[in-house]
Amino acid sequence: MSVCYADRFYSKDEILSLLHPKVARWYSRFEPTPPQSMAIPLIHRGENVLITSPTGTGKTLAAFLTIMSELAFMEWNGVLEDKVYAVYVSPLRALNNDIKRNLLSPLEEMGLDFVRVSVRTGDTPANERQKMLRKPPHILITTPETLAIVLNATRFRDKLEPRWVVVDEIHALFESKRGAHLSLSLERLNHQASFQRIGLSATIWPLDEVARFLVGEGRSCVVVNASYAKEKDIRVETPVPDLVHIEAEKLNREMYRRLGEIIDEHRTTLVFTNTRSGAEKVAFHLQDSVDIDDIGTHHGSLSRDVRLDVEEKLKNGELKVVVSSTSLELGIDIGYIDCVVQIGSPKSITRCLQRIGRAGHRIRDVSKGVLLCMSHDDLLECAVMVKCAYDGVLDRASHPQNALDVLAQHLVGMALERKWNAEEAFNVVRRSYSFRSLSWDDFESALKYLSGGYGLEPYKVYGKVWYDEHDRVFGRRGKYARVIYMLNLGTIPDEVAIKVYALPGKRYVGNIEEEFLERLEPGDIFVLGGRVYEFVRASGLNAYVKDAKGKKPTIPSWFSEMLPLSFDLACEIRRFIEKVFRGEIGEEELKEEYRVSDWAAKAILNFLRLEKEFLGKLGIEVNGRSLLVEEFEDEDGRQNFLFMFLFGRRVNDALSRAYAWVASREVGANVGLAVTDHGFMLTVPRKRKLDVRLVVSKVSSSNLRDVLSKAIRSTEMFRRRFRHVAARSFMVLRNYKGHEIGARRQMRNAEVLMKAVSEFDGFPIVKETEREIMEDVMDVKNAIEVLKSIERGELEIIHVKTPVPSPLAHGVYLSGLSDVVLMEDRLKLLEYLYQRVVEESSCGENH
Amino acid sequence: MWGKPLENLGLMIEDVGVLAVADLHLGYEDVLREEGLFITSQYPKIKEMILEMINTHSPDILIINGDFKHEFGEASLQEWVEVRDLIEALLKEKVKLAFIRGNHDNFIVTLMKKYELPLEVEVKIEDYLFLHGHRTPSQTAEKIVIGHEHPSVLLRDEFGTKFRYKAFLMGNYAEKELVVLPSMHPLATGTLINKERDYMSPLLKFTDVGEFTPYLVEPGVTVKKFPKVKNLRDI
Repeated sequence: MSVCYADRFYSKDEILSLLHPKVARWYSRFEPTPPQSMAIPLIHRGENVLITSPTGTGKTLAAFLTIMSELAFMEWNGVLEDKVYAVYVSPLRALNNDIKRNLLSPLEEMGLDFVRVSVRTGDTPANERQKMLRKPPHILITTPETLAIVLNATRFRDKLEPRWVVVDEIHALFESKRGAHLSLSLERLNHQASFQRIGLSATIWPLDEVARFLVGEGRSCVVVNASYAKEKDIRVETPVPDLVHIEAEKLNREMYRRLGEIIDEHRTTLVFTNTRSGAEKVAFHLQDSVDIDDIGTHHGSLSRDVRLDVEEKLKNGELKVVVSSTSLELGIDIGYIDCVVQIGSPKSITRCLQRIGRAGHRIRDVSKGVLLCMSHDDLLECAVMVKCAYDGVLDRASHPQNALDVLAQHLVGMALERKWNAEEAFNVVRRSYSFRSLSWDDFESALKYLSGGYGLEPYKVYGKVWYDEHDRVFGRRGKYARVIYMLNLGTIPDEVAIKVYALPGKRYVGNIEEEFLERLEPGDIFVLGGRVYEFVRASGLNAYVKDAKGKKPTIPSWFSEMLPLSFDLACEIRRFIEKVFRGEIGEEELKEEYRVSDWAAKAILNFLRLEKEFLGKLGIEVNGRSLLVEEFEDEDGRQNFLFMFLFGRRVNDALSRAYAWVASREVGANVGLAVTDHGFMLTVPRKRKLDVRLVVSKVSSSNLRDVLSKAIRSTEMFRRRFRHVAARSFMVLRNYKGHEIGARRQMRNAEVLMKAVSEFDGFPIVKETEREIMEDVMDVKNAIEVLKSIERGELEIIHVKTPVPSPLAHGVYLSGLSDVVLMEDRLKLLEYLYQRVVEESSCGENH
Repeated sequence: MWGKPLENLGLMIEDVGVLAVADLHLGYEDVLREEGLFITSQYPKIKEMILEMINTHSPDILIINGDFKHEFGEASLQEWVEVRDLIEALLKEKVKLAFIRGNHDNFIVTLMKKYELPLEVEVKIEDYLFLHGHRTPSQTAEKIVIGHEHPSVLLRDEFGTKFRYKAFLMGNYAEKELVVLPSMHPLATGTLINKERDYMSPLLKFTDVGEFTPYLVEPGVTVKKFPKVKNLRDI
């Protein structure tokens, strides 16, 4: 098993000589692109190949040219049968019809119209599925979820012995459980007959790991790296010369003015924001203030029709501007874009390159992009990010390992196929990169759970499979197992956005998460999109509020699941700040090497000078080793601790919760938590006093995992993630006996479930929730590295009392609460709530 | 107060030697299963709590104050196994048993006959009247004990996190003293008495529940008397 890198560019003639004459004749009018000239001969030779290059460089054709040619030879030799020879899997359902079109028209031009191509997704109607059974397509285009269903479609499965599997958009799959799910599907398919694997990816790193993910354990892969096939021109800007002394409204106005200028200078501009509501807001303001009519918005909350309409108009060049969150980041054929603007920081070097790469669709075009920064944190991130992008430094992507909920789904799927020897099944599973280090114990615990172990045993009906522990054999059980599998499969949780309308008049003001709605009571005051509202009532998926300008929020705003800053980039930023403090980076370097504008350079230097002065007044000389913990009292008299830890949110998520858990035990109360990429803040309720040095001393690199596993049990995040894991493990069903079960009902069910199973040690759903939070959501490995650096004295925690937070800490302070770590001691918790009731309602002991 | 609310969700009335528990809803897990939620039965916990209270407080009479089992149409396998098991376990204890019929107990009559156990609508012992609470009492008594409502209290900390507690309620009904028992079933949720105003029991419908005193329970751990319900509404 090995991963190696292609270094040879084959000539056009060499490539043409490999292809069937009809295919060669058609291709002869093109000049091979870099990925094509490297990959086609490798694919022809039967190698597993991972191609990585920017969009618009002809990856898809590189993959399919050989397949088309081979199908043509088969027909010529009269051996082409009615079965599926090639499977194309893409995580984007929207992309499927594009791909079909992009295959059909060359096939027609080549004169290969006997090659059948079909799309199969969850939307494919029964009669078309029937047709596919009678006349199977030679090339099947599908999604990871539908592929898993097809694996269990008894009759169609017989037609499915592919020679090639093409996995597109691997970069979008690698970091998620969808990827792990697909990887197991491929191993299940491979168990029947082996096939050649071809992966297509935008910029991603480390390529070795992605290649191993594509091919599975014990197989070789050749990587075709054409990441730098396109030139780029990226600039970092701010809309104003001074970000310190400016009101939010003026900053916004200036941002739209600058955005308007950029739009005017180009034919079609694509604007990225980091959130869906941000995309809506920008589009709305552009229409309003810059007076542009041909604007489109494109994001995941919009209906499919709206998105398709925007895509169509974009392709026809009918739009001046398109505003998107993440949805246009991926490979939809996007048409002509000559400039990409990113509002705020894209948070990772890779994502920055992917987004900017959407400009200049053709291979010889330059990708031109502007990062428009609205805060100092943005500026620092973007400047360092762009330097890294030009230096060829990328951030490391990571893949979920041994996800037990994904395993549980596939075990049900396998049991539906036939009776399995458990060890044979274990070996199939372990060939997947995502499960290569799975232990037998974990594997068996998933089987036991599915077969009704863990106290579920007395009622056989709960089991979806049977498992004989003695003979180590398992198979399907119960008449509902198949239906449950088919209707509940997949890894994407039902996240429901609640639309918020202001009364009177039902004006749409934004979205909140369902979990946030759960904690609102009529009369509560909260902040949404910078304005203050009073919650009136909720009905279905809508919440109604009224303006509450000037009132004080009673419930902290709740933001989660925003894009996290990568750890690698965060470390680069710390080094950068240190260099600026030492005077090693000045205006000239900033403008040239970091590609920031005049204003942006001044803003960065000015801001870091302020920080240095502020700390100087407190008698603190900062150097690269110091980690500041600022303590101050807020206007409500609560003690706050601002940890200026620039490690990215995933590491901060881990460290902050461990500290908060220790703190909550020390003060005997729940502790509030605000976490950002640049640091975190602990808030202790009134009348409690915390010694932060004691807290810090109780968390170490050797006990972090233990502390964290206790700390996350009593958080909101655990409740939410548990629900999703339980749904993926078929314990809380989205659909049962044909009834859709709403997200709210599922949520209540999960709460009940958590109460019922939390006492079982090693219960796979609890274990997986813990793993997902620690490894995928948080970054416990790098958090341990940070603690080790502190223990070795390479980093040093400095505790200071300040009247107000320092300039660098403002972003954390203003970010809003992101979680609460609850007291573990149930007796104390009740006592604490009693005190709160007595204080709030001002009624005496004897009422 | 004349009864002692216990952390295992029963009410012990020492002067007549009565332990009262309500709303066991055996078989409730079957309802959840119909909603696609597969969980383990809570019955062992319920049994353990009741036996623990009998051992600690040695009552002369155990009153099951209605809704012994959860019924919705046809009774399932699980319910019968658990119902039989609990009755047989209780028959072994040195305690008299009194079952009160709740609104869920329609199919249990035959089974009770088999064990020669009476199923009453109301039980009166000296000044105390026990009934399920889905109907108004047919006789008067100074002190009334009901179930049916499954009272619980919702509280939030200053960060907005919600906590739900089962609670005993003490107050006045028609100038008599009334106690509402919490449900014994760990997962059966009921009325949030400090948030909702739509009560199930006719005894509470036209009563000012705001003047009632709740005793919040952390099962198996503690019971704590809280300020009157009216003080908990905005927390």
